[in-house]
Amino acid sequence: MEIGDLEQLQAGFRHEADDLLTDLGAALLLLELDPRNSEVVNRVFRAMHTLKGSGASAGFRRLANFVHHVEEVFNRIRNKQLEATPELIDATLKACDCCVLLLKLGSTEDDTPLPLETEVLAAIRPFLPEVDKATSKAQATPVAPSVAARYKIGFRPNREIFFSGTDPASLLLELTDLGEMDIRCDTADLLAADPFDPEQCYLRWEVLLDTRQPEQAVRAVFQFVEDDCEVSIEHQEPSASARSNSKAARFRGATQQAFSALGFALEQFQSGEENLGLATAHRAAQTLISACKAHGHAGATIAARKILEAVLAQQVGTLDGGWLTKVKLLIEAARLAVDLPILDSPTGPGLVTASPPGTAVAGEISITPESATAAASIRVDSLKLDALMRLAGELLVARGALPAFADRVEHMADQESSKSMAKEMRDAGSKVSRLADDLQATVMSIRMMPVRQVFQRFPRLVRDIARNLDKNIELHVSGEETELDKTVIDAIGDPLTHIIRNAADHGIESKAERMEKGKSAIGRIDLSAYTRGSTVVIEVKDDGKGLDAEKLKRRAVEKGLLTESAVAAMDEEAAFKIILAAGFSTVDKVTDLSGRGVGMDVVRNSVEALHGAIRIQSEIGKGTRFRIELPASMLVSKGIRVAVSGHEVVLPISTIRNMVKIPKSVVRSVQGQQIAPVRDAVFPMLWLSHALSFKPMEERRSELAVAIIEAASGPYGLVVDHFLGEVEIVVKPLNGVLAQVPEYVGAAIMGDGKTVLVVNTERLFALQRAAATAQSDLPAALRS
Amino acid sequence: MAKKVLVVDDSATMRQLVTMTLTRAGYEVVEAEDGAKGLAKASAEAFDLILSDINMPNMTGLELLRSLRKLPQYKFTPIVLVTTESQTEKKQEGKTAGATGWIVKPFEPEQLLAVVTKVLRS
Repeated sequence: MEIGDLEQLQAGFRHEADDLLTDLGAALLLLELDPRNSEVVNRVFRAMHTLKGSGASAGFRRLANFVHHVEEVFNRIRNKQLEATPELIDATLKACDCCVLLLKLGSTEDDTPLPLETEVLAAIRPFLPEVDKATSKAQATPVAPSVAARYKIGFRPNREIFFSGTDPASLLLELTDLGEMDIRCDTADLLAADPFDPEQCYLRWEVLLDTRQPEQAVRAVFQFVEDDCEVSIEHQEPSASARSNSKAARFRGATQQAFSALGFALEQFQSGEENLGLATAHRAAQTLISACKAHGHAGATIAARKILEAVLAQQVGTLDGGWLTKVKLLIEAARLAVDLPILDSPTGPGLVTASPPGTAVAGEISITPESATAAASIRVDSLKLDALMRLAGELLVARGALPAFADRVEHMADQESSKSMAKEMRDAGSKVSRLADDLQATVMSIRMMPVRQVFQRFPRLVRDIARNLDKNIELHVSGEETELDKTVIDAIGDPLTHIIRNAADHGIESKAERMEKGKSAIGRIDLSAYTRGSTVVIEVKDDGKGLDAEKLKRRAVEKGLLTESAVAAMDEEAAFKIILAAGFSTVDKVTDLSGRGVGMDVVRNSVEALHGAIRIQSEIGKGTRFRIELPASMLVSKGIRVAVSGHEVVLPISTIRNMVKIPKSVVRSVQGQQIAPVRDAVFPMLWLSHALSFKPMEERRSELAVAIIEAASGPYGLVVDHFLGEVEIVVKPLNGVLAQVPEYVGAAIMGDGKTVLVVNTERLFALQRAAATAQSDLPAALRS
Repeated sequence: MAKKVLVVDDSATMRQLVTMTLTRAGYEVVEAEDGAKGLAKASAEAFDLILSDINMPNMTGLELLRSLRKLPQYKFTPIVLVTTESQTEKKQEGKTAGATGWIVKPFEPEQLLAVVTKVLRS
């Protein structure tokens, strides 16, 4: 197989293997809960079977060999010789992990086992069947072709042979590839058949075959029919001289026969029975080819082939008079070739040899880095692709109509036609716009994938943690079909893992603790996803011990992360968000899992990078809820256009809680920070013009336009000059030096072609506070 | 006219391998991912050869074989089963059900071609 083909095959198998391993993992977890369920056992077995079979076929030899052993264990479970214990399930889950590693290795020739491989194999060894697994299949080594031998072959097909799709004639033809033969057909049974059933085979044959091929090659011809037909193959010792004489005689006889048949065919053709003539010529030409090939006469074989080609051409094409002349010439040429002194070619009848044993895969396949394969291919719903193709087609058609307008405008006569012309152009234009929008939406939707593929790793995670910590935890998952952009899916896995780990490790209490508190011994974690407009919400809820806001505040101050005054001003949710701060952890000893205090700030950074927001709610003793809000599509998102100091910028909608107008008079200043009440809450205020270093407009208004922003550092009010409206934008990140400006997340192109900057509302307030603190540390003279 | 082959297998990798190998050799290949779909395709179009895996959801290879043999247009058509070595006992069952032959996986592309050439010979 060519290298390109193999790579394609392997890429395809990696996708298939991913699905198989996922299904396998899920089935194993089910099996642990219900070890006697034979349907689940079958599911496990089938997945392994396919992994092994298709893996081997795609060149993943090591993977196939590894899976083979695990499959054997499960075969025993399937036959009820063994039961699926938790230890066995553990080992098998590890085997799945090992398969992932082996998949990455590809079709390497290196056989050094991976540490995990050795571990798993050792764990399952006691469960393997007693048979010596090291026995290799006895393979008959093909005997090298030597001298020609003669075989007497008796072939009597069973009556029903046609019903197995076998044509005995094809088997006989196959024999002719091996050498020269003499066939006799016994029609006795046919003549005696009464009643005669045309669907049954009454014929039998006796073949004398001279060949240099080993007996095995002869037997191979009958491999599919040997068991239910009478086949006898006897080796015979021909006398040497008789052999060579008869060989030449045979050849002469066979070719004579073929040529006379060809002559007859031409007569048929010329007398008007054209189709019949062609059919006869076809068969005769084939006979001639076989005879020449068997005899090893290359030149004559080529000439005979040319005759067949001409006949075939005539059979499919139109009949013309020229054909007859041509084919007559070709027959003459073949005759000449046959009559030329025949040189005994050393290969003899071996012109057509048996196919060589499968060649090994050429070249080394190197391990591709994880990120490359992650980006390289994407599974797409074929319906979406169809829609895409259709829209692209329609767009091309619609576009095609546009140039015609230019022509028509040139030939415009009067006012009337110009008006209707304008309307037509507008209609065409909006049609193209509509199609382009649809096209873009479809392309975007292709990148949307169900969140299931991120969620499916978590049941195993929770199970492993629960087992390690000897807790009882149930994970409930819902909304897996909710769709998210591929980039978000790829990025949200780690943060979710941290949150869920945290919930399982620190949130859910031990069995004893829970019983003491009157809770059920089984802890519960709910993982859910749902859409709200253009936002997707992912929630992780646990019924564990909840967060202690006061304790968090104290810790933050102790660790020097926040000042006393800062924590005093914090509301409960802001206090909860302290756990997302870098360097924070309330656990004294570092546990293996998430106690190191580095996990949770990853969460905040990742969610921010995805232009999302986090909310945390908690009640001591009852539980905690993490809520991540993400834009459904990374690329197209909604924003609010706002005017500030004569400029236009866009605020991403995902962070906006609501937009209000408040009287200017309610704004107060407390310790240098502007605050204002909105509805029944108080928010710190930030002027957008100030944050973006624009010149503030004259404040003639008595009302302020404020957007309440939901940020990780706490909610705040962002004061703008005017709200201009909602807009859908494609946020493009800024490049180069501009990328370092933290106040903006990117830029977007408006419908009228204008470029506007998109504000980083999530971080804006925190940036301001940081700048203000830095400022206040400066001596008065240096403050701006 | 190119010979038309139907390949039925629930593994996308196997289907890909067979399609690649046979298309290069000049055959026209159609795929089906389980027995039921295979039967539907075979009923709708005419195939010169059908290659089927045995272990499949929705309808096994043997069930497909039996159903095909009941159709008049596939009474005498070559149908080859794809098995694994551990399933040799299936070979006899296959023969009884009317299989023309079998190929054992994993197989080299050349082996597949040899079997296909063999059963399609006329």
